[in-house]
Amino acid sequence: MRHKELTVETRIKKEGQLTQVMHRLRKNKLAMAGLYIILILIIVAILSPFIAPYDYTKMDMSLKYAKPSLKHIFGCDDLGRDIFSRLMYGSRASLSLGIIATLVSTFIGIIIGSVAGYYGGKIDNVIMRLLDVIQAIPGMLLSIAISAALGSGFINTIIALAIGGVPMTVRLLRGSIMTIRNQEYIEAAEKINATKLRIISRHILPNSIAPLIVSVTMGIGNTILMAASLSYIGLGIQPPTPEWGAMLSAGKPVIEKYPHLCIFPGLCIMVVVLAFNMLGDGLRDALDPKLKN
Amino acid sequence: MARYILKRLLLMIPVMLGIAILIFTIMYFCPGDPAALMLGAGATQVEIAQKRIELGLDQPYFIRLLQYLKQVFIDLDLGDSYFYGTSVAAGIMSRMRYTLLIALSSMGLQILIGMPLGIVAATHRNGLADRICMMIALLGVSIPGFWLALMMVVLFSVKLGWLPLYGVGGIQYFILPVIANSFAGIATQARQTRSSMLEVIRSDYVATARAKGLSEREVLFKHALPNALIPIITIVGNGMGMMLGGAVVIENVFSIPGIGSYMMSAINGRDYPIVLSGVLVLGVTFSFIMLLVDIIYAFVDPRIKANYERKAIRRKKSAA
Repeated sequence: MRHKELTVETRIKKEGQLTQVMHRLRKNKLAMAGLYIILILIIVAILSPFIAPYDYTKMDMSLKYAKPSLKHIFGCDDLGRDIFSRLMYGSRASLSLGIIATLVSTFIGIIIGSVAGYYGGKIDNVIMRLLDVIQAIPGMLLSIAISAALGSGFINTIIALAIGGVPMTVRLLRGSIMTIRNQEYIEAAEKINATKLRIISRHILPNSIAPLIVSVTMGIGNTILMAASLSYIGLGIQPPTPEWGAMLSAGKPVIEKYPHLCIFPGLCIMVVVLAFNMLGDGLRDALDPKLKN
Repeated sequence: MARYILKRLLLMIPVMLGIAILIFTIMYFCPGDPAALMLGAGATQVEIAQKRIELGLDQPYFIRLLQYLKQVFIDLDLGDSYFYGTSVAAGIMSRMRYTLLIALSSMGLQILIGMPLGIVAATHRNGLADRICMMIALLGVSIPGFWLALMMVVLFSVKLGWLPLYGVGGIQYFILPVIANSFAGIATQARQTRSSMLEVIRSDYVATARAKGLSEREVLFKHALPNALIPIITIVGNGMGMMLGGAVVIENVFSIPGIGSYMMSAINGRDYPIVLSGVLVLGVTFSFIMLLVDIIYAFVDPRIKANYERKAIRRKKSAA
């Protein structure tokens, strides 16, 4: 009976915190703008086959390099395909790459980080030295190398993008676990013989979740940027799949005459990344009000 | 202090070995057979097999790894390009200056523009200047560098004709690449500088400095900034990594013959020795910069320095 009451109490308290965070977030106009942009883009990505004005593969050589007009608001590309429709489809690749790669790297990072932070000692030392090596290679360079080794394609690009992000999550989580692990409630959980997995998943993770949420949000934006760079230099996602970085790359040779081939894909990348950064900034302030004041 | 630097230099050795092993392993899984690619479509199976033996590609992973490590760290030889047959080390040396020039000048811009922006934003907190600086910074971390580069080419080279389109030459060839490459760094630097300045400005010793009647200038530059420097310097070091990685992409945009474009053409041609050495050289360069950053920490933060000196004194005492 007492146990039941306790859980009800903690649930109420948790909801209270969440409402507080949401309340603070709602007051932040930039963050909300970011959130709305992201939601709209996700809807566009999902619904693109139904709402795109043209088929993204439909070629019309009479419209080759057509300038923006009322019919084709962003103009047409080298094969007379509607750029606006291609951008709508392209949001699928960019968003899913960014989100999946970041989630994968966060997931791996959480596992390795919890092990390193919770067990400490030799295991921690070995893990951290290995991460030192990975981090000694600039992230972009590492992604280029992995992408070159694995070849282009969706899954390979996700792997290439995810590996570079792992060390950061590990460090973040390890740091917060190290500060949490000497707290009394962890000691209490250990004393009542809770398993290590339970302690990590039920006590440690929820208490270090705030910085993780922020790092995931910012990470998605950053990963989208890297994915576009990879496709731009000819790795990552390749034509004919519409992808913003690859579209930019295709427009580069004719940029002097037809800059609209490059302007719009770049704007799309910028808006998405900006939205994730604005939301991330807002979440950081909302989750940790101490930092703001 | 010398002991600290020496210790850090020794720690570089396993990191360098680690980078070499990691990159070798990644490249080992590269699809495509360089021997077949080198000989072209007309080669017979026998010829390809012979070429593989000649290049040592028929050996198992561990043997090849050990051979590679011996070659790089003992013979100090980065190998020869599969295709051109020329020394990779020489190829990298002749291209390194472009990559370093772009990366270092980008880092310079990052410090010279990013730090003042962050300080101005922090001192005018929530005011107009703060908002403008932070909007620029937010844009900066969101704009793809290569796209900014392309847009600047359209504006300054194509429309206005002020600057050359691409290639290398005098200083005017590097203006656009450096600006495009450093914009994200400037933005990150401004954001980090602002937040660490804000943290310090709230502290008691800054209030004390103000209370004893120091001018705002003295408060900022003598009391606040030195204490905010550690995270700011960290970002400078990280920025260098970003610039080195970014330079690879930027070189591609402007057709600059640096390590980045050397590596990209090698990736397309499966010329492993070049890719391997390119990443290795850039990785080691970055590690050295980070080492430099750690040493600078010790100089700006008397606590770190004191820690090492105290240890040294203790060691001397116990020896005596």
